[in-house]
Amino acid sequence: MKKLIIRKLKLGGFLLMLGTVFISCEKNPITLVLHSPIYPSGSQAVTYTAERVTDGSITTAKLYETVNTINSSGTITSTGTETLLKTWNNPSGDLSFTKSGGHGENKLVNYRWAITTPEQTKTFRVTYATRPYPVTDMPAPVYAQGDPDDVFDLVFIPDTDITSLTTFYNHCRGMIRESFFDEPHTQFWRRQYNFYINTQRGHATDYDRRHIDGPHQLPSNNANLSFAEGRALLHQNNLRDWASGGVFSSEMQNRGTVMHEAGHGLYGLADEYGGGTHWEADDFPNNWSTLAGAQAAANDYGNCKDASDATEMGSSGWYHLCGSDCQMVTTGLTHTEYDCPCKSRITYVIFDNAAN
Amino acid sequence: MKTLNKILFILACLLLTISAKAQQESDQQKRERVEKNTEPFNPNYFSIAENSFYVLEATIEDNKIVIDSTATIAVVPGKMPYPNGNFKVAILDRNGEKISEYLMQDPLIARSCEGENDNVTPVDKGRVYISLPKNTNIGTLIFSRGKERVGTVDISNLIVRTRQ
Repeated sequence: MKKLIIRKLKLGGFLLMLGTVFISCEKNPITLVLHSPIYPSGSQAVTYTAERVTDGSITTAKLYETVNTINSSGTITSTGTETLLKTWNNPSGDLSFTKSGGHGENKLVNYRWAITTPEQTKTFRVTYATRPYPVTDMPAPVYAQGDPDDVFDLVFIPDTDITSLTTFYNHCRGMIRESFFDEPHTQFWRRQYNFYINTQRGHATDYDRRHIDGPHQLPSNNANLSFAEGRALLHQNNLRDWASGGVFSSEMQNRGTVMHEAGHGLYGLADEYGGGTHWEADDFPNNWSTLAGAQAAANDYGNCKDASDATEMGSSGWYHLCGSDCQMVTTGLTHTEYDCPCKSRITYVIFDNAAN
Repeated sequence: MKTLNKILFILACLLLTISAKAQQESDQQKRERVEKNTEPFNPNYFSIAENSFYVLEATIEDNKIVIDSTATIAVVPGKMPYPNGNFKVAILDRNGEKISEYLMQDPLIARSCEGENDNVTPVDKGRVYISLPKNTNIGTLIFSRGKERVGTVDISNLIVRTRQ
C-alpha cells in the first residue's frame, strides 16, 4: 500500500512541485514543541514548551505525559499511564509547563501535545530518556518521534575534549531548535526526525593533521549506531572538520556545519562548491554532470529557478542551480537555507524513507 | 483597452492566489500523508529481535577495504539506515547472484567542507563500517563509486563465524 502511494505520488509528478517556494507554508500557528533539558538527569525538573513561531490562535491545548521504565536490554519493564499535565484555554503567546521533581533514572518519558486551532487539532508525540540511560551500548533517544525506519535518525556523539557535558547537552538541544526546527524546509518536515545522544564518547581529529593524529576515533559502540543516517561527532576545540563513511565532525555550536553535513548524510545531497564532492543522484539531484542537464532541470522548480541559474561550480566540471547562500555551499556557526533543488531532494527522500 | 488590461491583471492575480492557495493545501495534504505513513516511535524498537542487521567492520589499508584477522560482523539493533551517497555496495550470495545493493557515504574518501584547499583526499588507513542485510548467504561485496569499481571482498567465512 505504501509503495502504491509513493508510486502514485511520483507518477503524478507532484513531488516536483514540492520543491517550489510554497512548500514551507503550513497552517498557522506553526508550533514547535520541545523540552528542556533535552537529556535530563533522573532528578531534574523538565520544562515542556509549545513555541508559537507564527501568529495564529489556539483554542485549547492539552499536555499529557507517560513515564515508562526501561532495562539494560532495552525492554520496557513498566508501562506508565498517560496523565494530563495541563490544559490551556484560548492561550496567548508560548505555552510552557514545568514538571518538577524529576522522573527518576532508567525512564523513557513520552509527552503528547494536543493543540486545537480553529482549523484543526495538531498532535505532537515526543519520547526522551532520562540519565543515566541503562541500555547497553545504545544511544539515548532525546527527541524521538517516529519509527526509526520511517524517519531520519541523527546521533550526537560527545567528544572526549568536551569539558562540560551540560554545555554539550544544551548544544544538542540547540541543534534541534536552532537548526532543524529553524531552517524553513526542515521545520516543515520537523516530525520526520529522531535525535539521540550517544552514551559513549569519540574524538575528532583535524583534517590537516590526519597524517599525525589519524582518523576520527569513533566511540566503541559505533557499529550499534549504524541504524542512524547521521552521526555527528561534536567537539569543543577548533578543528578543520571532515567526514567519511557517514560520520562527520563539527564544533558543537556550529549549526551551519551540522545542517550542511545533514545534507550529505540524511538527504544524499552533493556539495555545491567547486572543491567538494560531486555526483548526480538518480532522483532529484542537486549536481549535474552537464550544463545542459542543469539547464533542463531548471524548469522543474517553477519560478524558483530558470536556465540562466545553471553554473559550473568552480572548475569542477559539475553544474548546479542553487544560489551562493544555499546550505550545501556553506558551513559554519549559523545555518542558511536549502535552495529549491535541495528542497526537492529533501522532500523526495523524506517521502521515500517513510514509504519504504 | 485600459479597463480590459485592468480586468485581465486582476484575473491573473486571482488565478495566482487561488493556485498558490491550492498548492498550500496540497502541501499540507502531502505532509499528512507522510505522517500517516510514519509509525510512532516504539520504546521497545531496539530490543525487538526482527529489528537487527549486520555491520561489517574492516580495515582500510592503502585506500582499500581489506578483510584481515581483525574484521568482524556484528549483529546490531535496528534496521539498515536509508541508503544515501555515492558509494555503492553490491551484495552477492555465495553463487555470485545479487542479493541487493546499498548506497552509503564514501568511506574511502575524507571530505572537508571547511577551508579552501584539498577538500577531498583518499583515506589511506582506518576502519570502515558497512551495513548489510541479515542474510547468512552473503558471499561477496563489490564496491563502486559511480561506474568505477573500487574493490571486492569475500566475507563468506566471516558470515559463517557470525552464524556460529
